[in-house]
Amino acid sequence: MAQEINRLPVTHGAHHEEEHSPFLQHHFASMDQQFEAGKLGMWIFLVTEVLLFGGLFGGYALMFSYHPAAFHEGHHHLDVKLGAINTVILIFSSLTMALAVRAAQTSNKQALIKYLIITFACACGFLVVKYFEYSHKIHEGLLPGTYYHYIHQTTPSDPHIGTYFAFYFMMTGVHGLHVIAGMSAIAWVLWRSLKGHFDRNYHAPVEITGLYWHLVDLIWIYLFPLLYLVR
Amino acid sequence: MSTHAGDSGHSHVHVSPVRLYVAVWVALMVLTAITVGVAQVDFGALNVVVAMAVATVKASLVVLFFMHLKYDKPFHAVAFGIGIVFFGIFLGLQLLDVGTRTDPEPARNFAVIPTPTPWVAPAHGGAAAEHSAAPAGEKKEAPAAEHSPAPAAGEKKEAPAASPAAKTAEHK
Repeated sequence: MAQEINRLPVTHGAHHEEEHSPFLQHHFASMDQQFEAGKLGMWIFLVTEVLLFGGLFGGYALMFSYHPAAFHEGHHHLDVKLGAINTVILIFSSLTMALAVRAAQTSNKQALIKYLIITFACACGFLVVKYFEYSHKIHEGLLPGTYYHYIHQTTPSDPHIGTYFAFYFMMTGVHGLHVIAGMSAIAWVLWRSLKGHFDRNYHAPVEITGLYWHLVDLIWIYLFPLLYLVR
Repeated sequence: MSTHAGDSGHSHVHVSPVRLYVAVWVALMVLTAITVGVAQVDFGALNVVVAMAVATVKASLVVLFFMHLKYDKPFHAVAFGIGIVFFGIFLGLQLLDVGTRTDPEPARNFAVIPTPTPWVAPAHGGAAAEHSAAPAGEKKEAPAAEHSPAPAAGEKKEAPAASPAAKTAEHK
């Protein structure tokens, strides 16, 4: 066993098609292996993310089926226009992220930096819209559970309206945290791009960050109709 | 596989043309418009189904082309697919349960529902009820009782009586 480990760098050097990359971690035999391990790890992580949001979607389905009137009333308080704008922003950022990965694959540093900046800016735009939505709701007393006290109340609300807003804030809140996490990853990748780390031989961080960012978009694709549109 | 420049044997690199990405994006935009448009039409109980079907088409486009799952190792598709399958089992069995219940008001089973009249501890009738009420009174008069388990039990009995009453007051 120990012999084999000792032999690894030698074997690696013997494979002349792969020159030694400074980004090859010592516990991987080759860049290919490192890339595939990282990517598989990300896909499995994305499965856990699907199941995390799956719990929220399951809870939403349950409470929606019990209190449809409350959910119908609740979604009228949401601004479809702002939700649609955020959907467009997020889908566009997914496009630029995909193009950033493509730029890394083709060793196009300028394009990589450009697309990462656009993606990051879109994420900021998404959060700004979210901020205006949240502050508007908090100001009007459209809050979860017993904290619900709509200030422009004319007709009595469904007693379960607070449940709708609990789901609204929890689902968009957890999603928002994912947007912030994705932005941190994009910022890190952008910083490394500026240092010129990525090219066609090594771009795993760009690709894996891209996978994560697309999942954030994916979740929103379901959240938008569920929270803003379904009646 | 077209961009293998030869210096490295990266078998995994599949570069999609920019045209494909833009086409997928256009499709996603059109589907977003369809999502919003379809929501204006009332399909009754099928509203959710229609919205989720459109969302699933969009999600598939993102996964297949933006996330390259179409060109990726099949193993990644299997790993992700298993996650989706288990989510389907989770949601499917749950909806099966909810959809086949005969309780006319299943929401009654949840504690958050405000009850029409405040619930009071059953002090009337039965030796057991009197027995439980006694430590509660004892607790009010003498907080520093010697036998600690009894006041603790009284406290527990009191707690549920207080909270539904408070809840109804808030909702009124």
